[in-house]
Amino acid sequence: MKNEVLDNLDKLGSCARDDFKNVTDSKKLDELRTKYLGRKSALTDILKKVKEVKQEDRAEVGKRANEVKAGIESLVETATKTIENQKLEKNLKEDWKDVTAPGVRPQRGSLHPITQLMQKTEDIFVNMGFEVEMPYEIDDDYHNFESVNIPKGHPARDAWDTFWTEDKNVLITHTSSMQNRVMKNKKPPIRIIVPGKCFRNEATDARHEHTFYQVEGIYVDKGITMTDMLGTLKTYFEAFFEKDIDVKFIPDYFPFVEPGGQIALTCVLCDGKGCKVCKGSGWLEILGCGMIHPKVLEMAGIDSTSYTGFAWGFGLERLIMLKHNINDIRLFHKGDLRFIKQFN
Amino acid sequence: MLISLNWLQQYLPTIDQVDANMVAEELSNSIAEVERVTRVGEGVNSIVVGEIVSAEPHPKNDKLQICQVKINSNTTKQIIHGGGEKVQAGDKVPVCLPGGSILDPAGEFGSQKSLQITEKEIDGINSQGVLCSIKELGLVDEHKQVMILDPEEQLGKSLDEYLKDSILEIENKALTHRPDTFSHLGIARELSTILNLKLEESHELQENITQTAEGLSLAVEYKVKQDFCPRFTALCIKDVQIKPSPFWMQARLAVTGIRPLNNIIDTTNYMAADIGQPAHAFDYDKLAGSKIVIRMAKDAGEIKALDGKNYKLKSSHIVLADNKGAIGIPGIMGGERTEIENSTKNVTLVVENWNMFEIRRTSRDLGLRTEASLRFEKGLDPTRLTECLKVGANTIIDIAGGEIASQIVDLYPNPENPVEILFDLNTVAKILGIDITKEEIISTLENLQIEVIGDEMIEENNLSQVDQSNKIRLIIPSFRRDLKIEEDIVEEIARIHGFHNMPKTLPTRDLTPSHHNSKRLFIRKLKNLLSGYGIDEMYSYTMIGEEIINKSNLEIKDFLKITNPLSPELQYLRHSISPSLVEKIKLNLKNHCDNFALFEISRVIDKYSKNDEKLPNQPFRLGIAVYSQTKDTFKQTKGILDQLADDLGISIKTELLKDLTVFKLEKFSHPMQSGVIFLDSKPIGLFGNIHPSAKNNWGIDGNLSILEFEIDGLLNTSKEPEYKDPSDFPAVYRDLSFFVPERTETGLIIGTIKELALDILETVEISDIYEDIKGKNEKSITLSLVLRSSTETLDQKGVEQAISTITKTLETKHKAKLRK
Repeated sequence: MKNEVLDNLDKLGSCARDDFKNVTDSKKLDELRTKYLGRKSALTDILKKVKEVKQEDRAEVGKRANEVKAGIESLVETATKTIENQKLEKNLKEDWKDVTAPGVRPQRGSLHPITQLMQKTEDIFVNMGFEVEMPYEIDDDYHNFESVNIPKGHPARDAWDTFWTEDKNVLITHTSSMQNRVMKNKKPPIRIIVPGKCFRNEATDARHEHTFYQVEGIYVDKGITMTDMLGTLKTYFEAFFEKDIDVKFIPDYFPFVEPGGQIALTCVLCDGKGCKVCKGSGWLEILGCGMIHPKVLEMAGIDSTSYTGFAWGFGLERLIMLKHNINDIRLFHKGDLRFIKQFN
Repeated sequence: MLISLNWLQQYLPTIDQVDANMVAEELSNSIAEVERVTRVGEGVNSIVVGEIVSAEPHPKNDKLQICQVKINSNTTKQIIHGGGEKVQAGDKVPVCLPGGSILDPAGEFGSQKSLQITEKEIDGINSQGVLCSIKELGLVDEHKQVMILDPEEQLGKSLDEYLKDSILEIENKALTHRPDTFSHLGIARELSTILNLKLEESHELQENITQTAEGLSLAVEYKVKQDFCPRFTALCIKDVQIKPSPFWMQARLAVTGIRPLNNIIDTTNYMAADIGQPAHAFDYDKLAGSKIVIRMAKDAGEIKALDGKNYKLKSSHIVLADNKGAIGIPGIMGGERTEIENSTKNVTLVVENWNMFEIRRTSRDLGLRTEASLRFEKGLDPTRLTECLKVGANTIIDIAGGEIASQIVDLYPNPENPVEILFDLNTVAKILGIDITKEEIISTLENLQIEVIGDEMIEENNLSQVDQSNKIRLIIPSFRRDLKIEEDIVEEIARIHGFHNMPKTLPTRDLTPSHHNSKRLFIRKLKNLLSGYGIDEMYSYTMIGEEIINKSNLEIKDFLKITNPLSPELQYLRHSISPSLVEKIKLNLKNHCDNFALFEISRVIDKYSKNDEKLPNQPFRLGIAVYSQTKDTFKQTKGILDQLADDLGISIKTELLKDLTVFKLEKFSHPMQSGVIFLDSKPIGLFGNIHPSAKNNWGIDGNLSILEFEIDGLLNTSKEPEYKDPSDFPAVYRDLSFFVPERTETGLIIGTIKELALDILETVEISDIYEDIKGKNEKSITLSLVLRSSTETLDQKGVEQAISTITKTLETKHKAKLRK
């Protein structure tokens, strides 16, 4: 009896091994699992016969029976995995994504290019030890003109086409409107930049805008010289445009500085070789500047015999236009998102 | 300003050895930008003075004349002339001979093509050249007739040398403080120093003028404040002959943009461009009472000026008058009644000095700017006025004949003394940061005709007195009105030394970091937050027009007005940002934006309040406009506000709009869908949907909400949130639903719960509001509570106690009934 049972177990085991070799789908696997491990399976039948085996042989037969059962279970498990893998492989191939289709984007807001490059400008000057002050939009004649040595009726006023309000104030024509206040309120060394919105009463075109942003700066201390002014502005422009730049001084007249002039910098588009933008000269006139006129210092209560200082003012839009090759200054205030969203 | 190199050569005989572009570059580097160098007369050749001997009609064409033109004593050419006015025997005219060239009269003036002249037959008759119009010579844009020359011009003289010239166009603005340079003499002085060329001030060398004849008397009465007219000079010349000016003078005037008229008027114009001193000539015989009175105008007086226009005068304007009334607006333009005409026999030449501010004010009042006012309003030199009168008188006698037949009037009540400056040589290094030798400084100043005194002191003094010895005394020439202080002198030295040679240095300073401007940083933080929320930044104009105001249902009276606006669209100063943003929303809708939001931070102008400096208050405001085709922008906007408050660490409250007059936006905002934002108890702004009628005015479909508040007050209350350790103990999550009366403001419910300050209440949120309950004036709200302790695991009892507290409080305060 013992041998017969053992024999049957061996046969069953080898039969199962053959059967499972060819399993490829889950339906067949289920059939085989039922056939070999189900309640009505051959194994169940064999196990029923174990009772008929002699007592002393039962352990051996039982052990063998468990081995065969474990073997079949392992076959089931392997076959299950194989089938699952095959299914996965098949699905991987069938379930594709269009990698060229546009995604769902996060919502993004843009900072206006003037904000971005104003912040860059402020950061550069703050790193150089300057503080930042903000101007009014409406100021009085004294602060916009007289305190910077442009008396009433002076022909120099022609250079600043001015908007006047019904209460006899001006829309500031430059952020120099803060110069007198700043110098009155602080003691040298005074290092200040004043970024802000300015207004000029002139017809607009691609190069001219009645509303624009200016960055004025002053540096007052003992021993401040014109070469310091050139070095300071050169340092700024190099940081702003992120390249080597040379600057030169060209004489010009501004009542609040003496000597006064313009700073020209090597054309940032052609690196000084000469192009359409710089009209072939290799230089771009970019800002007005000079050594602060002693009258302006004195009007702010600074002793002009001990202290000297320089001042400058430039329009930020011009620099942005150069940096990004923008051809029309009116785009800055037009409000077209197709423009604004390009600068992130 | 246009400067002719030919003209300059009169003062700088060797300037023809310097290339015109080089001259331009040197001027640009040391005084003012030369914007352009133009060559003129390139296409014009072989022009000579000819005289019409006879002019017969052409047998085949009555528009043509057959002219016999004498070129010199031996040569006469036959020239067929046509077009324009006919010529007469005796006329002297410019003739272009075969082989020469003229400019195409049909071309655009200034860019005409050159035409080669050949001998040819015209309607069967041979023509040996062309009689030229002033346009064909490239001088003036006029082609009505042949140019008639001064009869004194020498027959056969070549005119080519006067026509070929280089013109420098100099930017005026840089010379605002240098009236002396608004002349060829002034620019010549500059160039003489910069290029180291010999200067010949020929006019200064002219002989003195004296009365040489009798017969004309001139009375001048002085009835204004002395500083209005510091000096007045005049004389009369009798028996002048009015005719065209000599060709050289006409050419010089024309190439520098001044239209030649006749020899007397040309002389006065020439003086301004030549020596920088305007002058005026009257027809002596038209001066009623042979008199000139310098007086204030009468109110509502009127004068017809030389430009043919009538100007209304006020008692604040100075006029020149005779016995009949005003004859000129001094320093600006003469009157028509006393103008020089072809019949004029005797002239009165007037050379004056006027107060620059008075000229400028009058010129602006009248809206009349001339070559004369341009110079006078910059402040001219009174000290050399008689020299200028001399130049003018000699020129007139030279080219128009006549004799000085009156006394020479010179009213100069307060003669000016030369300006002296005590100059410390150390100032140069102190301001410029470079060392320039004493020798260079002194020679530069002397080249600029500045007299240097006290140089010897430097050498004689010993080293212990070095400070004192570094000072020199300078006497400034009277034409340099701009040199008043040491800094002015430094600029002279620097620009002649060469600004382009200057090194670049950085100031020495300690390492103290700069202080941040906290408001500026706050604005930056706000902008970064807002763009992070997906909102785009706008820059719109402070100046707005009636369109924005009307469409937004605002009141024009609430806006500060600009008295001289650029256009009606830019006439008012905005007191609020969001209407501008609505305009930008509308603009971007054209580009099919469906869901977007815009923000702007800017000052606004409050017409109704003033700051400590008596200026209109100009608070900084944040404005936001949110648009969506389909989504509820009201909730989005409130969400932006809530998130901002959290991120900025500020505590604000919102209340249904009750009184919006404080913002002047009452008809712009929807009355039942807008809230006022309170910081503490102060209203700082508002948010909500815009008024349906405003939306309709703007023609905007879809949902549109705005948010606007002042940010000045936030700066001090905004604080960084306090850090708390995250608790490791488990949380209990509970949802509670209540019925509350329909118009209960849910914000108040949250507020009530927060006021309880329960230790274990971590967060409370409203997770659902259900309003559509049929037949009941109630709505249902669901609160989601998170309860947690930082020290222990919560037990059931603690949780139930907290919830019961909340429930009971809401029952009492808000008539809330817990749904079971």
